[in-house]
Amino acid sequence: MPRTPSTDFLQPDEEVLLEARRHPLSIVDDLVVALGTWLVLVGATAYALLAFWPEGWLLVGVPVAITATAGVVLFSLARWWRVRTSVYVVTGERVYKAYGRLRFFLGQTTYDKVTDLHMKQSLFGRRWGFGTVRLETAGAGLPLEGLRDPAAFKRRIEAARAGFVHALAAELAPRRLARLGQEGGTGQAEGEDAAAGTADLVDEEDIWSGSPSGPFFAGHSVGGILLATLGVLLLAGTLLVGPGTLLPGALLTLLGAARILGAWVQYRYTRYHLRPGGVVVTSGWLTRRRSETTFEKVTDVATYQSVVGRLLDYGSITINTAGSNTAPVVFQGLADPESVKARIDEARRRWRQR
Amino acid sequence: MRRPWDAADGGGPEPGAGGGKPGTNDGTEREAKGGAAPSTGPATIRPSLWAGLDIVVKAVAGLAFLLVPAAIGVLLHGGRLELLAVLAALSFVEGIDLLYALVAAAFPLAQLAFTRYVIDDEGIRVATQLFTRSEKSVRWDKVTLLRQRRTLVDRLFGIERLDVVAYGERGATFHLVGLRDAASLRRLVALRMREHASVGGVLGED
Repeated sequence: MPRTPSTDFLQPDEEVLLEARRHPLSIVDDLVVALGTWLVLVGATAYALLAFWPEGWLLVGVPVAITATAGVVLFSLARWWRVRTSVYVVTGERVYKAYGRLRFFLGQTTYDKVTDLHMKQSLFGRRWGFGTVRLETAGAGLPLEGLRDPAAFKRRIEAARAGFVHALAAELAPRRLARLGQEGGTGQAEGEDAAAGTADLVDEEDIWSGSPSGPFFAGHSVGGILLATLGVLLLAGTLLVGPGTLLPGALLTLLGAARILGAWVQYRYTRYHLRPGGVVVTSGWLTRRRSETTFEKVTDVATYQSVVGRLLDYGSITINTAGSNTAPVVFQGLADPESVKARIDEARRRWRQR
Repeated sequence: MRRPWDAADGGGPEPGAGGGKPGTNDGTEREAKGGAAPSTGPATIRPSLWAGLDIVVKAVAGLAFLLVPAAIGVLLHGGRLELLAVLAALSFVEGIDLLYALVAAAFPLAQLAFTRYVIDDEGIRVATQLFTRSEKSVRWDKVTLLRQRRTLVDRLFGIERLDVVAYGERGATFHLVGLRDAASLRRLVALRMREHASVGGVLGED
């Protein structure tokens, strides 16, 4: 096995600004955790045996100790191998983290996705000069563990990131200017662009609008119809076997009727709107609900058709957005969801070009 | 019957077409190895079915590991006959576990057979059509992080996996499994991420 980890995972012709490996002593943090777990496991087993089953040490105590020790040894060896094979690469455009040979891991992110950088040193890290730099992105983080002089490493990444942003801004500026020139823009188009992402969707005309399909209503009513039918049968049964089935019959009938009513309200009072800047869903009968999102916040679009949906040709489109506080916007029960998704994709494409 | 991955396929390569083995990433390799950023239409990738056996191997290995302490205990405590009896019992349990794992793996395996990863100029799509039909897509500019992974089981079957992480707490993470050449796909996605990079997010944060 080569002593120096390979960096053949880089993009073609990518320039390496900095390459680093893990500090050998950074394994100590992992070993402390492993030994702590071993002590807790073996200690708890020993205590339990001494307190409740003293003669069981041979049958349970020794096997648990042997297995736990073997587990700690294997874990430590795996961690040692990870430390030995880890390599971190900083290039002009992205950061890579890789380790392993048989098992292999490679994580990478581009600087424009990095929102912030964190540096952390444990007690041992401060003593021996290693630490973790974590690159945070909006989606997930990329921790670079066991770096020598992590503060200096973090500064190098920050410098590389700044260089990338400057280069990218310089690269994008001519395109922007060319586009403004084409639009005869004197800042007006710029203002329109800025407004495009956050425009009030109320003011926009629909590109497309629709509502849940009839088959969706039928499919969603089936359960209610079955429940109500069962309820009616039980109510009818009161005439034959007495009042014992009256209450369950009434409850099932009401439950079935409520489900049918719910499906009808959803079918009748839900409207989906696709607009140049985003999507809007309005729903409700006695109450009114409106949910909307602009395309700039949309992260991904998913379609789904259940078995019944495939038979009756309806499905749902889920429009996910960034952030945890907002629920996704869902177009439910659409006829031919594929064509509606194609319309949404086209609208997003046009929005990006605005 | 029209399949989700047919929708935007255009002139893209048909999975397994041209004598290619199932699971090969012909289209992706064609684009990724070019080094530049060609836009030659969508590429469709069919995941290798070996990825579906992952659950079987892990279930059996996991149970075997749990049974080790029991075997040691019997060896220390009892005689040879008891050990044989216990080993026979353990083998039986392991056999049951294997059967259970095979049954449990049947659905993911079938689902994998009807899953395609579609790469185009806009982004990446994961389309599945078995009993239900679903499609998830994410645009290149929303991809934030890539993770290429290979477990020991993957190594055994000659496959790898790629996680494509997109924006947001609830943002999508696409776990692309059963890839014959994850490195080429990763390079292609990285290329597309770079092409769609923007300074807006960074300057906004700063």
